[in-house]
Order: sequence, then C-alpha cells, then structure tokens
Amino acid sequence: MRETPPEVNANGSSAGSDQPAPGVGPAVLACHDVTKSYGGVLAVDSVSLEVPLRGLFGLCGFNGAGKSTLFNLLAGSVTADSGSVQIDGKDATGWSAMRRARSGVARTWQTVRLAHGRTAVDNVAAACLQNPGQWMLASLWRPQAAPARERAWAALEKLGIGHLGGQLVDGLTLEAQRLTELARAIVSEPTVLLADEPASGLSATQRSVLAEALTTISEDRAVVVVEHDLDMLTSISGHMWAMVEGRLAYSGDVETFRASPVHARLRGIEQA
Amino acid sequence: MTEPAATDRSTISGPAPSGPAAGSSAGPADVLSGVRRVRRRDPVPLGAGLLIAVVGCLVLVVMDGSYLGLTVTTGVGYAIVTVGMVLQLGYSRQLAFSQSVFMGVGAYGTGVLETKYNFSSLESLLAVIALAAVAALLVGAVVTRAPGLALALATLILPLFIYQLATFSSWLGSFSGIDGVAPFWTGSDYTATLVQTGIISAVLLGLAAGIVLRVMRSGIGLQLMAMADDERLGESIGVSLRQRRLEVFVLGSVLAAVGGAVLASVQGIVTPDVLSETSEITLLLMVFVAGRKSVTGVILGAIVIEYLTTSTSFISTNLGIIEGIALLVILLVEPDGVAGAIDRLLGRRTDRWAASLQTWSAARLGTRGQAAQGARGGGNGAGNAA
Repeated sequence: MRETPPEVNANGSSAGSDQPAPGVGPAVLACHDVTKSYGGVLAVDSVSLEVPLRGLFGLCGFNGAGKSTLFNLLAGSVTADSGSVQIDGKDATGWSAMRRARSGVARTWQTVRLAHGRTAVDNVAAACLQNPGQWMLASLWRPQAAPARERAWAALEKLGIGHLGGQLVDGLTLEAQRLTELARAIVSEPTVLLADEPASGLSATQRSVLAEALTTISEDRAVVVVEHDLDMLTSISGHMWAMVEGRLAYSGDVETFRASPVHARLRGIEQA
Repeated sequence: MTEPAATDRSTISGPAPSGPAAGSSAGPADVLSGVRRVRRRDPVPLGAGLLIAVVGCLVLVVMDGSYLGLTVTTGVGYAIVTVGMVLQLGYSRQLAFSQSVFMGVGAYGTGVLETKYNFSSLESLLAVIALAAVAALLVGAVVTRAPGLALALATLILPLFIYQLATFSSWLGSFSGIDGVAPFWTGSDYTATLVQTGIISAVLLGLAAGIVLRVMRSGIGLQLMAMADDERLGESIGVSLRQRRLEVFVLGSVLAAVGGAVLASVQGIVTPDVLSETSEITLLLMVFVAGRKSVTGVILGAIVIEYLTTSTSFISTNLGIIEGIALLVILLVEPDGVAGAIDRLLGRRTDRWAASLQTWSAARLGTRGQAAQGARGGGNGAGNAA
C-alpha cells in the first residue's frame, strides 16, 4: 500500500498533484501533464495523476471542470494536445480507444450507451470475446458467441441483475441499464474502470445499490468514479481528486478532502 | 473505505409487467421472467440456409422452366445481393451504395471470362468471387475510412462512374453488353437448363443466407451490433472499427458479385443496366420494402419485386417513378419494412401472451403453495414459494 500523500494545495492550484493515489501496487494507468483545449478553452490543463492497481478513487468537480474530458483522454476517445498517458508502464499516448480497451481500460459514459433492440446479455457479451480481433471469415467456424454469453451472464449475476439478462435493454429501468453498462465494462476483466457519473438520474436507494456494486468491482481492480453526489463518492472512495477549471485542485485522502476549501465550494454549489 | 448500506438487489427490475416483482427474487414470476438460457454451443444456422436452398429448388422444379420460373430464378440472383445488404445496411448500418457496382463486377466478370477466355461456369464463378474480394478490399480500404454520410456519398458516385466506363468500353460490349453467357448447368433442353441453373442459384442463395446468418449470430455479430448503434461505444469495448467496416464491405460486395454472376448465367446476357443507379434503387427497394434486417424478408422482397417489375407493363414502363415513390413512402412510414411491421405486431401480441401466462402461472403456483401450506397445517413459512 502506498503512503497517503499530504493534502495538496486545495485552493485551486495543482501543485503537487502528480502525487500517486494510495492504493495497492504500481500505477496501472497514469497521465503526466496532459492538456486539452477546445477552440482556445482549456478543458484540461496540465493534469497528472496515477491510478494504482486496486481501489476506488473519486474524481469530482464543478460542471465543465474537465472531468469527462480527462476520462476521454485516459480512455483514448480524444487525443491530448500535450502530455503523456501510460498503461501498465507503457507509453499509450498515441494508442486508439480500441487498443486501450484491449489493454485493460474499460469505461462507462455519462449517458447510458447500450445497443437498442438487443438483450442485456448480448450487450454485455459484445465486450468479452476471447479474440476480439478475430477475422470475420474465421467466425464462420469459430463464432465465439456462446462462451461470451456465458461470461456475460456471470457478470450480470455478479451485479445482481442476472434475472434481467434475457430482457431487451430498451425496457429496463435506468438503474438496470446502468448496471448492465457496468457489467459490460467489467466482463472483460479490465485492470481499470473509468465510471463517468454512474449514479446520474438514480434515486437514493438505487444509488446505494450502485455504490455497493462499485465497491465489489473495486476489490480486484482500480475503479475511478466521476460523480457529483459527494456523499456517495466520499463514502465509497479511498482517495479523492478534485478538478477546478481544468486543473487538478486536490489530491488526497477522503477525510482531508472533507475539510478542504474545495469540498466546501462543491458543497456550496450542490446545496445552492 | 466506508461500506455503503446493504441493499436488496432483487428490487432491481425491468418494467412491469414483464419484469420480476419487486423484492421477489425467487418467486414464481421471477422464475418465468428471468429464464436464463445458456447455450454451450454457438447456433449454426445451417438449417436456415439448407431450408432456403431446398425450398428454392422445389419451387423452381415445380415451375418447370416456365416464364414465372425464369422470373423467380432472376429474383434469386437479386436475393443473393440483398442478403449481403442485410448485413451491410440492416445489421451493421453501413451506408454503402456500391452493391450494383459489384453486381456488375460479377456479371461482367462472368461474361468476359466465359465468352473471351473460355472459362467454365464454376471456374468463372470462383474467379469472380476472388476478383470481387480483391476489388472490394482495394475500394473498401479507401472508402470505409470515411464515416457515415461521407461513405454513402463516396459509394454513391461509384455506379455513375462505372456505368460510364462500361458503356464507353467496346471490350465490355458498350451499350449492347456481352451476349452468350453460358448457364451454370446446361440441360438437355431450355426447360431443363433453366431448372438446373435455378437449382444451382437456390443453393448459392442458401449458402449466402447461411454465411450471413452465421456472422450475425457470432461474436463478431455482437460487435457489429454494438458499433452499428454507436461507433464510440464499439471502440470503447475493443472493437476495431476499421477492420469490421472493411470486412462487412468486402462480404457484402462479394455476395453482390455472386448475385451478378447468377443473373448473367440465368439471362445469358450482361448489359450496362446492371450497373446503373436505377439498379441500385431497385436493390434498395427490395431491401427496405421487405425489411432491411430480415434475411427471409429480403429474399421474398427480391423475388416479389422482380416479379412485379417484369410481369406488369405499367410498372416496367414507369419503373423509376414507381420505385422512387415506393422507397420514399417506405422510408417515411415504416423504415423497418414489412418484416419490421410484422415483428412489432407479433411482438406486442407475444408480450401480451407472455404477461398473461406469467400472471396465470404465478397465481397457480401461489395457490398450490397455499394449499401445500394448508395441508401441513399452515407450516412455518419456510416452504413458501416466494
């Protein structure tokens, strides 16, 4: 277990923010000085962080603080203007989202993204083929679908929604859809899961189901959660990052975060 | 790390009434709605392909070389093309409109190889498949880099260009095309030849349908489903968009070429009409009227529309106008075509039946449980079905 870093400057500066988060083992995902701007607006400004092997890590911030852009940069959905990204110690800066996914970086999205008109189990199975790069011609004698569906059922059951596997995703509740997305993200046994506002739109009871699922998932991998619900986030996270105006304003343990000015500002917005 | 409050996950449900009752994770309703079917082996749609081939052969044998038999055999040629379009346009939502071009590659390839180089039907068919695969790889490697609308526009230009090329080339017979293409299987007379060629065409159709169904039901099919809905989602779960787009394009194009070879073989002549934009619109009509996602639908659609366009002089004279209007109406009213509409109607009905059955079974099981409890003198509740 790494040593807990001291609370870094919580007044908006990112000084010292490249300190690793406390967790188990070496960093499986890291970024150094990544910057991304859109039309002159700095969405992410020189952010550095390291995600250890296991544990649950919270990332919070105001709307437009750059959390989702940072997720996109880590997952390879967008390319950084500068800076670097490492996966398992390898330089993954130029890697596509597909290559990063195959290297163990899984993600969920702010809005639910599922293939409509298909069952939950099919949606999950699409993400866990034994050989995802198989040639189409080879699929004629080795289709891979049955073992993938078996793994998908197991992932759905792990999250407590095995009984909904055979239903079309269009008819599921938002909570079940979010859990189906989570099952899809973990079914390929990723090393890191990036969950972008997974509790968005859920009720308090549903949030606690989700929190429990995220905690279970983080037992054998790293899970980074972006969330506006600070109570939920701080109750499940072992480490917190906070972003303000594209910069990492806080990186430290949860207790110190609760006493920090960033927390107070976020709370103020939340209550307002 | 603080543990969240324990929660009963059995409350996560689908919509009423098809979802399980809240808080009844092991109840009878759950048993019915949460049927878990794990298939240890992948489905092999050999049966479907075989059925299509056998039915096709029987129909053509019964028609015994009549004019209707010729029309159906021609329809089978188009059906091979449209089956490939189900994978391309329907399942993978790849907006490529180059099928008439590859149909032309198949038809002209067969014509040239047979009349100028004395290839046999089988040799020319195999050569045409290889030629179409290479051509599709080369064209696809460029055009499938373009996403969505750009791909549609790029492939829409191809028929115009190739049509001009065919009409100006004397080697390809210019406007007259190539005459004297041999049938797949020459019989003792015209009737036998038509029936036998029809049988080969039906077998090829069964094979095409089997391949497309197999791909759609494979793990690759699951990946195609994910990326068809949302390409960013596909990438995020490890799908190589470029690889899959190219493979779908090549398979669709090769099947279009096989369809073209069948048409050349059945009609004995290849004209530039096969490459025209009207030909592409006819193919789109065959796919969209019947239902772009249904293999059976597009096979029937191809045969019925081929019959309508050749048997009625009014339709054949005003083909362009009628096809244009029909396609427009279908796209506006029912984009999933006849098969989609039937599916929806049947789906609603089956949903109602399933809900009624579920309620009835739950009530029956509940009654039995109470009766059993009554017989045990009320019991202690441990044996309650719920």
